[in-house]
Amino acid sequence: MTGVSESVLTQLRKGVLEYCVLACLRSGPAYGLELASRLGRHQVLFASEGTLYPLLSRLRKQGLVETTWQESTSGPPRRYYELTVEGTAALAAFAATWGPFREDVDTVLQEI
Amino acid sequence: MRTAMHKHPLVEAYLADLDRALRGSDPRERAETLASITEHLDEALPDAPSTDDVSRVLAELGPVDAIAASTTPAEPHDAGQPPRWLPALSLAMAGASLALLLLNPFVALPLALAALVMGLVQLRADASSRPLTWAAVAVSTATLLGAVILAFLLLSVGQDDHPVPSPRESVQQR
Repeated sequence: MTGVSESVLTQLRKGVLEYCVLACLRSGPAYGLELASRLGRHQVLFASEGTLYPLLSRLRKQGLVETTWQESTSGPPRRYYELTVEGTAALAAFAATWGPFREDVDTVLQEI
Repeated sequence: MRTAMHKHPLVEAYLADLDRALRGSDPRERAETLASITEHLDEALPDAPSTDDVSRVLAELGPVDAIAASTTPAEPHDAGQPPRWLPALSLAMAGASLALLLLNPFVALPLALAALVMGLVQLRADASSRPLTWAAVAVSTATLLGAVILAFLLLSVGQDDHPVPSPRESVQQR
């Protein structure tokens, strides 16, 4: 990837990545490895799984995500991440805005 | 808590690298990232992982620099340094105390003492601008020594017999 596309991607990710993490938690709590493998499938969004964790830390600081410990049958207790009420609201706001935003960008890109 | 996983040299090296890479990051993000990645490795690897297992999982996590790049940088004061203007302030106080020594020793003395203490504390705390801090310590010490000498002069000479020349007179004599 060239330097220019890399920096464009970095900028785009800044606006959107945290909401994508929130979206991953929409269906219920998930533990770190689970989230990392799910999101890691989308290579354009997440080049490496490790970058998920600073994001989660920020989401927790902002009060959009909280964590709980749950017993696990296959070993020690696991930390589960889940949406708070504020997190659910933030995700809904993003989902409502994203459609019109994406359409406008597509239109502008196609205009000659 | 599984401990066997931590003994694999590649995992230990990775976590040590990550710790180092996160040094400039916000302290809370740093702590949480290290903890959650350790948990990730705990979950992803069996108790006695093979080098292939470890290499694969570490490759999926990606380079530590990329992870550090996605953290928020630390605030300047988070790094545990005192404010940058402190050495300059100490020097200004020391200078003022020296200037005031003859005019108003009752202000000059506490000022010099405060500047000296501040300077010494900063030197111990290994702050930046060491030249300024050393200057503050030197000037405030000079002021305090000057005050002691002045006090001896006043005591030994005695104000009734030989009046000490006023500052204005001493300046004119030069």
